[in-house]
Amino acid sequence: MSFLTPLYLAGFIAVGLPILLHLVRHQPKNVLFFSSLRFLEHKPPQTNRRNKVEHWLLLSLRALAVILLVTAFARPFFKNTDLELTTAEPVNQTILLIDTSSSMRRDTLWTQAIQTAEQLLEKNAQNQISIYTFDSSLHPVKPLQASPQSSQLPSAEQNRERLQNLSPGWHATDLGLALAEMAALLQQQAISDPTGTSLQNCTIELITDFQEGSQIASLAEFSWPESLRVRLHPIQTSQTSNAGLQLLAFDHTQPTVRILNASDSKQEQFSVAYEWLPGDPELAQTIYVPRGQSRVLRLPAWEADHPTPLIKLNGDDHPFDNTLHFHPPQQENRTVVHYGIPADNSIQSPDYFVKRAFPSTPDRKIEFLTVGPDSPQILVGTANMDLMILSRELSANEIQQVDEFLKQGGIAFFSLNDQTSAHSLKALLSPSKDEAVETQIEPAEVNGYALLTNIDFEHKLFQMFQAPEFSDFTNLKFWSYQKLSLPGSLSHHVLARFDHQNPAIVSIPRGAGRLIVSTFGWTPKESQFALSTKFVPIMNAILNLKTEFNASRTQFLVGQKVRLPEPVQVVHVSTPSEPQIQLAAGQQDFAATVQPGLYQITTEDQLKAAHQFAVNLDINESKTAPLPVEQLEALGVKLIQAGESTVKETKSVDLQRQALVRELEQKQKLWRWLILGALALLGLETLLAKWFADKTSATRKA
Amino acid sequence: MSTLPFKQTSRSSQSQKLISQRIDPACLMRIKSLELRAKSVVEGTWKGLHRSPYHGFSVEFTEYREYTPGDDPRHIDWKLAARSNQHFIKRFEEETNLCCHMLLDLSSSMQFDSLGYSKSDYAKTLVATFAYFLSTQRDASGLIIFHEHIDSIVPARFTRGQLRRILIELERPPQGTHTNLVSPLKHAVETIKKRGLVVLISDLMTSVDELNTQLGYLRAKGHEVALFQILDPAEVHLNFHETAIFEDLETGERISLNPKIAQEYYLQQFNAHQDSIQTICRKQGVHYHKLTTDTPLEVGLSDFLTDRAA
Repeated sequence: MSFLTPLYLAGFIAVGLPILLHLVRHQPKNVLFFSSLRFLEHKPPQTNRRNKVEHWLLLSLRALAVILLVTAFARPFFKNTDLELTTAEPVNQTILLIDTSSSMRRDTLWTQAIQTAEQLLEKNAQNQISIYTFDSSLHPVKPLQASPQSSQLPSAEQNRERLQNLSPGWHATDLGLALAEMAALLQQQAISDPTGTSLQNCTIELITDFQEGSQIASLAEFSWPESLRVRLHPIQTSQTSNAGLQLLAFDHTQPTVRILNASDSKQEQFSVAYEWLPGDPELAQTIYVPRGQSRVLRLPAWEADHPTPLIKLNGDDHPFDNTLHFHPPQQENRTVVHYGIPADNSIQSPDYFVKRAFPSTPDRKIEFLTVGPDSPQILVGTANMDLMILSRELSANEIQQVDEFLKQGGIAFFSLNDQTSAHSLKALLSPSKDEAVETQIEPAEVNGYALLTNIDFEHKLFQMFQAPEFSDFTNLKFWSYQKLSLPGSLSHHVLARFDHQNPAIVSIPRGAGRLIVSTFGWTPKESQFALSTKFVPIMNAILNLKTEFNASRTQFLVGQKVRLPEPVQVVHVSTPSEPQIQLAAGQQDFAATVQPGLYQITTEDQLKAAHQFAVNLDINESKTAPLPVEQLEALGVKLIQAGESTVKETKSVDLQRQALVRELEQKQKLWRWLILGALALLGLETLLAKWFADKTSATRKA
Repeated sequence: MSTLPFKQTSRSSQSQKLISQRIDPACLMRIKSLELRAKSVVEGTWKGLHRSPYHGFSVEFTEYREYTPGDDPRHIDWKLAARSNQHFIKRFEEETNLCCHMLLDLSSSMQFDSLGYSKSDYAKTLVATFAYFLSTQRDASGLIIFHEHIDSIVPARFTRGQLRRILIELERPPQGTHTNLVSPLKHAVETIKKRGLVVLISDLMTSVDELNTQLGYLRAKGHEVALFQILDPAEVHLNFHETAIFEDLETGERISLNPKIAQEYYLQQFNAHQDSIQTICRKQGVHYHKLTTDTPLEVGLSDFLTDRAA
């Protein structure tokens, strides 16, 4: 056993105290005032011999308690293998964390960064080196776990080669995330690897332009390890003027852009122009943007038959963020077919409301078709149909058509507004007679009105109402509805119930598609649904259930994932750098948006035009003024100032060992048990002393 | 000496009668007002002893006596002589009234208590009782409070406010230290011109060397002297249980003592002291009364009255 603070062991002298007290305890303590001592003999009372100890048990308990307390103060601990390992010279670890965000493309910043990194490699040649780069995320170049002996090349040469292969990308900078992830990795390493270097021996060498646009907010949620130090190597350029572009809106052929000027810019006058041909700007507009501020500019419209130009900014020192790519949003064609009673002006007809629930917008063009019972049989290609709404009794042919549509992956919305439609639903759900018997639909008894409860706000149909200000459905009253009872064998999910626990909206998977059944009608005589504010959002949510790909979205940032339209249909994506990237089957997202430019998604379906989208830089990358270091320190990051040596460098081996000893002692915390033991002994001593005292007084009284 | 058995019998029977009606001193001391305490004792005694042989012991006087040659003719009641043709000497009331001086010791040793009230409380109550009793009899009473020296003096009078003055003096907080019996007794010898009753109330926890002389002077001046020795039961028996440091209330001296062991020697010394006091009293014709603080006050009072009447 060893002691962290052995000087406290001098406190063992205190063991003499209880012994002394035991020896002098016979002196009377109570003072009795008496009228006169003239008749008393001036002879001290006969007391027990001073050197005689009566209660050896009490004495030993008291002495033992003192010994335990003194030992606890000396902070004992048991040596283990960790400590023996640390007697050797600890291995220092250097982590090069290099910024590869797009702002590092400015001027000579990248060259400076590589030079700094090489100097650091040379300086810390004795240390264990790891190399990471970061932009919007952390990328290992030479990760922590990589063994230096794994390669045939010398480690230093290998590292230099790795550095030379690096280049800045186009991503935004999330410095906070990178630092937090790095610290977490190091903490994990310190825990999992007992022979590895502890955090005190680690230094993160951060090579970055440390620009204002670097996101450091992630550090606020991260508790930075006390012993982990970061040395900042800010890379600066003498030309500080920089401005960036951001597309705010697009109206036909007239885009609106924001011009942001960095706070350390020397320029404040810029020009913005279209560029149809490379290096040939047209229709330039000048704009004054004060440093550190931004201005919004609406560019002039160009002729519709022209191809889409680039938008270029001129007047600053750094061109990396001066080009804005964009693609005009495409209007999407959607087809909604309503199997209902056609009505133009009667508000008693479901068609009246549902027709108006799907307005066309600049993003989409809705083709609404009402198919009445008497309508001539129209040939509607199920592949082109986006939504089927069923609100009347269907003929056998129609049922077959709907069934086929569902099996192909379509979405149908069935409204049980009366008993006649109930037969159609039964026929649709249960082709066999046995199952049809199990499916029961009967009018529910509604006392006054029914309300919706147990709404599944997680479902896409109700997701937009999740917020408390929208989730109140108590104003939506239902005067009548059908009581639907589905067989247990039929897979279904109740999305909402009435307050009588009867299902209100049920989602039934059917083939590749889905059937949404509402057990109520939406006309005013049946419910307030069509008149409520919930009607249009819910109907449109049903329409969008199938389509998760938003074709109207054409603007993305570098690094953002693009949702692919239909995994099975996509063939390839062409990017600015590569003409064709073949996608794996079943891939849902395209994440290789690594550089700005125009991208094109080509699908199998030759009828559908290729979907184009533009990828641009994050506007934060244009905020190139240096970030105050204090902001990083305020978030808890322990920085080493330039020229300051780290703790590990100044610490001698003894000091480091001392720190490890302290850590070991804190882990074991034997002193707690000793204190507890001392307290237990004192408690026992109190009880025994009381017992002895009682015994003595009883004897005296006797 | 031949009358002694009779006296003792009489005193004993009266005491027994009083004990049956006594007020427990512990209860009495709980009464805050000294006057009330005194009234409680005296009224109780009075009621109990109504029409008792002590009636009018101090106011009993012969109002008229037949003129004998040698009497001052100024004292002849001429009105009576005119009515009855007989010469009677009229004795003034003032001459027959008792003049009582009480000498109260309030030294530090009187502060000792083992029953919840001190000897000085008991003694003050006794003085107040006497004063009240005397005031009811229209007798003059005076008070001298002393410890190391004389603390306060209330000259003997029988005026209406006399009792009040005595009570005020008694209620003053004690400031005494040592006991010095010589000084008050000497003062009494020198200042009390009129013959009367001198009552000394003290625990006599001091040297009694000079007591004999001073009491002799008082007796020689024709005063009737009574000595009340007030003692705590603990002082009489030294019945403490545990070893303790005993501190002298007067001198502040401390000694560690095991009372069990010291008791024998103490009682020996104490009894010797008591004997010497009683010898002095007997020699000087002083009424000696030892009162322990657990004794009902009525007993003390009645003993004294009985003794005096005897």
